[in-house]
Amino acid sequence: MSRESRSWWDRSGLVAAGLLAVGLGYGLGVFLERGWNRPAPVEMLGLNSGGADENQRVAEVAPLGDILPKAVPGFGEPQIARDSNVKTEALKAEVARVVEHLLACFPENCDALEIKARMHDWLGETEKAAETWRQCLQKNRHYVYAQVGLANLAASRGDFQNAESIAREALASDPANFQARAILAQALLNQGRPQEVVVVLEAALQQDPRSLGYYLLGQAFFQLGDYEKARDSYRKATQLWPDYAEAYHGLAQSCFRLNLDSEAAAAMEKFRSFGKPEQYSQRLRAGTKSDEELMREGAAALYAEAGRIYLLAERHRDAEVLWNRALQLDPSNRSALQSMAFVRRKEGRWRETKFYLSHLAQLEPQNPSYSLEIGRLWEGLAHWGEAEKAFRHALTIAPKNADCYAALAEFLLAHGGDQKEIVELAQEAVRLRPIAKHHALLAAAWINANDYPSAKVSLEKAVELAPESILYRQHYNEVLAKLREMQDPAAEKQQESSGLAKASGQGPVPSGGESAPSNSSSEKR
Amino acid sequence: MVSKHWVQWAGTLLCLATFAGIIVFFFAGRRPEDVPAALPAANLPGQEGSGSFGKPTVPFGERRDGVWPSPRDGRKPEENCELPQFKDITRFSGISFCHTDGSSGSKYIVETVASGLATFDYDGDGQIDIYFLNGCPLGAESTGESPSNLFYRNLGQLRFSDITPQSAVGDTGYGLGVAVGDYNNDGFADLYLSNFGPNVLYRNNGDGTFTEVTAMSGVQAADPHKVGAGASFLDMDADGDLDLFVANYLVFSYERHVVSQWRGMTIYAGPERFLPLPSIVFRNEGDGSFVDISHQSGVAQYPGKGMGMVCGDYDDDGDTDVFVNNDGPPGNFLFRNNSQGFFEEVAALSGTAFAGSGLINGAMGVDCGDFDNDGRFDFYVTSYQGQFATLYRNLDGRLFEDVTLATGAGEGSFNQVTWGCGIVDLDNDGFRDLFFGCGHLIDNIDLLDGSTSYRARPVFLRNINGRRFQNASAACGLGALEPSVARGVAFDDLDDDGDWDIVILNSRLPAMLLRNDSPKERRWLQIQLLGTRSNRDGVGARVRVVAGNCVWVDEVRSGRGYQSHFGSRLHFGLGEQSQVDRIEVSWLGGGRDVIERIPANQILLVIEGRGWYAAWSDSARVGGTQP
Repeated sequence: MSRESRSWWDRSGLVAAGLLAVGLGYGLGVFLERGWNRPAPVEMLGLNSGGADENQRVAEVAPLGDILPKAVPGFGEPQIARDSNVKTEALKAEVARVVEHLLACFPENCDALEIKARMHDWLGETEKAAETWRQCLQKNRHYVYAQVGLANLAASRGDFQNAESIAREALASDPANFQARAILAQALLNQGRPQEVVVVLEAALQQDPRSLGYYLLGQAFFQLGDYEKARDSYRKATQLWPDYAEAYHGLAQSCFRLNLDSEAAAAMEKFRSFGKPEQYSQRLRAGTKSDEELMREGAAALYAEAGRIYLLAERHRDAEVLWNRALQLDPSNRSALQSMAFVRRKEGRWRETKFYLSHLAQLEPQNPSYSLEIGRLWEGLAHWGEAEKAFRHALTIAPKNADCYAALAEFLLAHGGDQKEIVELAQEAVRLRPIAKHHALLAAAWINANDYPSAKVSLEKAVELAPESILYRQHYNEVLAKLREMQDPAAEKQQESSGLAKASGQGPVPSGGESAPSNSSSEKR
Repeated sequence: MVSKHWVQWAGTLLCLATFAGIIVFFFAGRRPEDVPAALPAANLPGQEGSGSFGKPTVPFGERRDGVWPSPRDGRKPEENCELPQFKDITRFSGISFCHTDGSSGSKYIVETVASGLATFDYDGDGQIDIYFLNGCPLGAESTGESPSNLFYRNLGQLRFSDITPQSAVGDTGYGLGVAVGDYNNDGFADLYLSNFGPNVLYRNNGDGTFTEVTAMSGVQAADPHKVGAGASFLDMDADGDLDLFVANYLVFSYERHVVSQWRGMTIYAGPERFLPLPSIVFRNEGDGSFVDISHQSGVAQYPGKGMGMVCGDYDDDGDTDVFVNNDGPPGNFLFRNNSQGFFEEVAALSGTAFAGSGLINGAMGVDCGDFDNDGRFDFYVTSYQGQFATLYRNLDGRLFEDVTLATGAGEGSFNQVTWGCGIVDLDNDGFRDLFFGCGHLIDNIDLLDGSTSYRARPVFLRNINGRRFQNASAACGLGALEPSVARGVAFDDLDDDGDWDIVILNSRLPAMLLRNDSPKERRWLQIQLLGTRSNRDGVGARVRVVAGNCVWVDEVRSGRGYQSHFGSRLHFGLGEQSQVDRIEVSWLGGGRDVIERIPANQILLVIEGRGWYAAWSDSARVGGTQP
């Protein structure tokens, strides 16, 4: 090879190598940014929905990790290490940079703009917050989160008439938004219109029972002089949230008016036992938690929410950077932990999923749902022993929770547990929460124990409670067929041969059947 | 060229017209109502009798105007005849008091809660005088000359003269609360000051001077770390002399000083960072001395963060009970008197400890009065930001109901810190209205929270038939006031024109005097009590006024609102009633006087067991006009 040709070759090779390197780098970038995993369904993360359609317009902006402290962990081993070197002023500036980045990435996105409004609110810049929420509404006049923010702000200023008006608009945008409903109820109460509060809350709480809702309803009934209904509402509030101090106060006052002195005294005693300082104005909250803590918590909440916007736009790395930063600022931020657990589970990274779920379980030791999730995780990994342990642990911490009984029963049913125990667990689930799903589970437990008459009774109940369910009706027919077969095996055999027999095998009936449209019939099937 | 000249001429003309407009505005266009009509132009501040520390131009014990009544001469017709109009006339009144909380940037919690004021007639001339409490430099800054409390004598026609030096009541301690009462029954009102550190008792010598008698009377409450609060004279055992009930806020020392951070900024720490203190009860021994009976009275076992306090016979059993509101947990205290000076704390049982929502408010000031004319005393309690000022309606003398939301009594209070307050009939329509002062205690709140403000305007809630309150602040002229930072608020008829005027002590700012121009077609009656067997001021005596179908009750109180004192002369708005059918005075100790057929629009002096006089009229001076 001549000197010239080598030189040409060298030059060509360098160019090619360069191009290759660029191509690889680009490919790696694409892989990391997009191909590394698939996005999670947004609705499962509970992301604001108003600006979701605009998320497609993603500007080309540098990765978020570039503007956050270097200590932010990205991919790799899960860890939650509190960053103890955060100063408040620096944190404010950091949050401002993140919000700026978010808006640069999603300039047309209402959710992103709403995060900016929340940042202003977090800083006490209420005028700027209001202005930003109004900008959200210019983009989407039914954007409920901006409406709720504005309504909340009006209420905090004591402008309850305005709060009422905006909250009504918010409810028109999203009738299921409880926050808007609660603001509306509170605004009406504060204007001395308890009768309207009853209208706003009573029916809605049947569909979506909330402790705050029942507490406000209790106040409304009390003001109307209907002390019995007030008492009942306060009772429901305390049932939903056993630590609801103010609801106990209302309960005591109602009982006192009803001359139920002993119940009044007990409720008042309970109220006094709380002495909840955090309920008493910002001055006391500042006294129980340092300002730095409160600022960290606020920033972490913003990051957790902003992370979901990045995830929705498939900027997974940015999302995780934010969630990890949120956890550095506030290791107890449940939203960031839940998001991380969710994403890891979707990726099939079980060990890390369990890490986040376990952390959540530590934060909320009385909440059995994390143990149940861990149990299902182990079950998916075929670690039966660990799974059973987790399900039993959930039962230990919430012995009055029907879901815990049902989950353990299902697990034992699927993995050959003790027949008697399964029946007992399913019976307890039914007792605590007599819904169709639990009756069906009990039926499965009876079938597992070869008690078809009892299974028939349970399935009758399930069908009665969920008449639209094809599955329950199908199982019910199967059980009837089985009973007929037991009474007259020959006739049953004949029926089976004529093709009218059961569609599935004789194994245990799967529990928790899905609901289906109600126009089903055996003929159609 | 022509057009250029035209432009120059036009510009010149425009400038001249603007200048002329300004001149006209300042000299010709000034509205006459900007100058209070009751004040002759020749007597503007800085001229006769208005200088600071100047000699009063009116001899002690004599009225200046001499003729009663002299209301509203020359005032402009009210734009809204239904509503009173409040006008800030401070700059014409000779009052130059400017409060100091001693703040130097250290942010001591004491600074946030100062101070109260008192309106009372110290010289018996029938004119209500004004005593302002003041703070002073704290900690390392407390060197050099300290500002003092200031005392202004009412010269008549809403003009006041600073008489602090000659009256010798210029205490330089850190003043928080004040109560007025004739503890030695000599006919002259004495002053008790509740301070940060030792308290002070000034005995009125009756000659325009006072003597400090704290040590000899034994009411010093000398704990140097005690942050005082409201105080009240009351005759708790109905023995004819006034005892003393002193609320306390908390324990503060420079060593234990802390501040808080909020959103990265330094702010005043809240009360939860400090230890609470119980109230103190002093029993008057009748010889000029007092004995601390806090433990025997049962009060010492209730430590709290006391702020305002008020006395009143809420259960109508003939003795004086005590309401002390606390700034946060454990909630307010309602001390029920067993008639002999032993108090049982019944707030939680009665429904007055907390707001109706179950929240423990950061309560600030409190007043007692019958807002719905049902004959029972209700309580109105002001509170911290994010909470409503709360109206507790007395249901049966045992139970109270929070009717704030149902009546609108919390309007205008939610996003403010609210302080001095009164259940007072400001428009003489026969229903007691609500008035409270506002102003945050976090001095940099404007940088931290846009939903509230450091400076704010007071709020007037008009009582509509005893059922509902209407925020009439803007329509009554309060919207035109310069926002300020209220603490103590006092209500009294300072110009003897038959309606309550208002004095507001503003933290770190000049005080504010609001003249009330209430609807003139409405009638009123004022009653001054003079005890002979019971205490001389008639404190604790209940007065029932009946006119046609209307019945009003009130009681003489000493110490109320936010760490203040006002209203020793009872005021009844009578609406359209031109005559009162019957007045019943129930004195502490059992005495009772009944007076019938009294014309409206006058001030009565009712002397225990001896009937009534038209007070401070010419005839009163020569012996009265007993019917």
